[in-house]
Amino acid sequence: MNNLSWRKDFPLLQQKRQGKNLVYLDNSATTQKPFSVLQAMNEFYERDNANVHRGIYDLSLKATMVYEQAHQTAADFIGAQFEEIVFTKGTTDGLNLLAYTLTKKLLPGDEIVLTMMEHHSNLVPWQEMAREKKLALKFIPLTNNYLLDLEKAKKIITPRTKIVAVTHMSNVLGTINPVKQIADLAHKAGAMVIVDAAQSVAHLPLKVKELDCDFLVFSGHKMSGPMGIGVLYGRKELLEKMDPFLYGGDMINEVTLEKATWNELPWKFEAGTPHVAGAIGLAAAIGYIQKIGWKKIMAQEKILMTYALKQLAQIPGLKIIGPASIENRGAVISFVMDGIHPHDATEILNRDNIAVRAGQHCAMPLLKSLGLNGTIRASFYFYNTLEEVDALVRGLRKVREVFRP
Amino acid sequence: MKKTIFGIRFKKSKSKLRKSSPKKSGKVKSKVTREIVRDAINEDKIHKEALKNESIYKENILDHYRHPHNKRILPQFNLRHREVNPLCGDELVFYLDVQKGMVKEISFMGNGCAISQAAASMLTDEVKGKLLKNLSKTIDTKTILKMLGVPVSPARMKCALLSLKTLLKALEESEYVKDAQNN
Repeated sequence: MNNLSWRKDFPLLQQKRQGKNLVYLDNSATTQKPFSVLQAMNEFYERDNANVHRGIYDLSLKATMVYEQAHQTAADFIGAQFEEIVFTKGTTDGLNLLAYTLTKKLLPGDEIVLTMMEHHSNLVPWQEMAREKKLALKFIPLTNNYLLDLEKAKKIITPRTKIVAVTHMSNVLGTINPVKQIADLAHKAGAMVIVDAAQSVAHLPLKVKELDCDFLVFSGHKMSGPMGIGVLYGRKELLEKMDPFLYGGDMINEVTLEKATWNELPWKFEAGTPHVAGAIGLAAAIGYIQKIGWKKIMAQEKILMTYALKQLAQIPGLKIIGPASIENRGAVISFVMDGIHPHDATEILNRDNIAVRAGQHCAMPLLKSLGLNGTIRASFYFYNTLEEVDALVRGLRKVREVFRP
Repeated sequence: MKKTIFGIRFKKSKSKLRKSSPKKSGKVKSKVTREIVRDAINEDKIHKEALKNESIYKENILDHYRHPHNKRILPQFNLRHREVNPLCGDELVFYLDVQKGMVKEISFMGNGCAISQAAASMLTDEVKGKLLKNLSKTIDTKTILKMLGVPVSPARMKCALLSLKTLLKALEESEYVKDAQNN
């Protein structure tokens, strides 16, 4: 009933274990890759591999060209300019770059505002910088319906706030945050806005101008691209003012034994040989997403979420942790089951080759604030089917049978 | 959290650990971690068998999970140690009342999955009444796996061994207390 023409594009999803189809529902952790992404990376190594920005010979020029083309593809994808796209290792790398460089000139008592639903990667770097520079960390709390409390945010963001860093979509709750509204509050207070788009980038079209953010970071592997590559977007005038994060080859202009000057954007932030094949894979992933089209991707995810929320709600003793409505909600469902630890549930699901995540999802403070030790998390992508939702529900009923009191 | 995934010390390293201070034990730990990973991979063979049925959740385990033994805070104790498993959010606290070198009473508190809770419940039963100095020599990973009596997959090894880790750390602390008193 839910035959997806694009599912066959993903080689990994075709595998079986002991006759059982793989039901991959851990897409918030990482997504599977279509053949075109694998092929693009392979072709680079087979045909175009040379170091970039170095050689005069044809092969190096070709490698440089495809690498720079990947920057342009990423820039177009989020409505940015070429110079504003820095390739990183991933979201964590990007956030560390920002935490380190943006706090350099802050003064003791300056404030950084985060939210209660941040992934550790958008929390721990700020904690460390705050400790070093004696900055104040403040957190926007949640409402009872797992949304950001914007009324409280108005009071939390003050003229002393220099940075507001917020996730676009919670990897635990699925909540999609009103980034634009937060950016308005922050900009009024004179603060910069950083958006962690690690989760949202796979599920909805992003335009940095519409979000009105100063920085935005995401990873390739969560949007059907390869691991080890990510994007840091920064407004050009801000990137120009910032010091580099890592120093070395390719990021310099002129070097003497005493000092160096920096290369132009974006290379100033890309020290060392970059992950060229990764960038090409990411560009191929963007191409693949555009070929399928956001309309189809979003429609399929809405079908999955509507069905999954309805089916899961029918399992006795199961409680969904996240916004009740599917509006402003990404394709992630966290839930707990009465008297059953998430690890036990996922182990039993694994018997049926169903892959879901259990635990704290790198968001310990959030889980603690909700009074939970962990949740079971099923996260979808547009290649998942309604049959897979059914398999999950069947598996969860089995879990209940094993643990029947 | 700087703990390694399989951050449990194995039997082999314990003699070294007792002689060294806790700060010096880093090297031992990484070597031991590799051993544990290797052991865990060997367990994978058993794991494949386990896939065929729900044998890991046999009644014995579920009994201990639903009605854990010694799950309370001791009214009096002289050793207390807390460990967490950051990946799944499990938490265990052991309380020991040691009298004349013997574990007079032992209890635990915390929360976790069926495997970690059952292991803690069984381990406290096992340890009660034993001499402290013998414990770190006789209780190890094999003890726990034997007590559980079910195949434990590599992914669940941390759950199974959290109670052992908590107990061994508590014992280490007792030795530091002793050493400190001797000095």
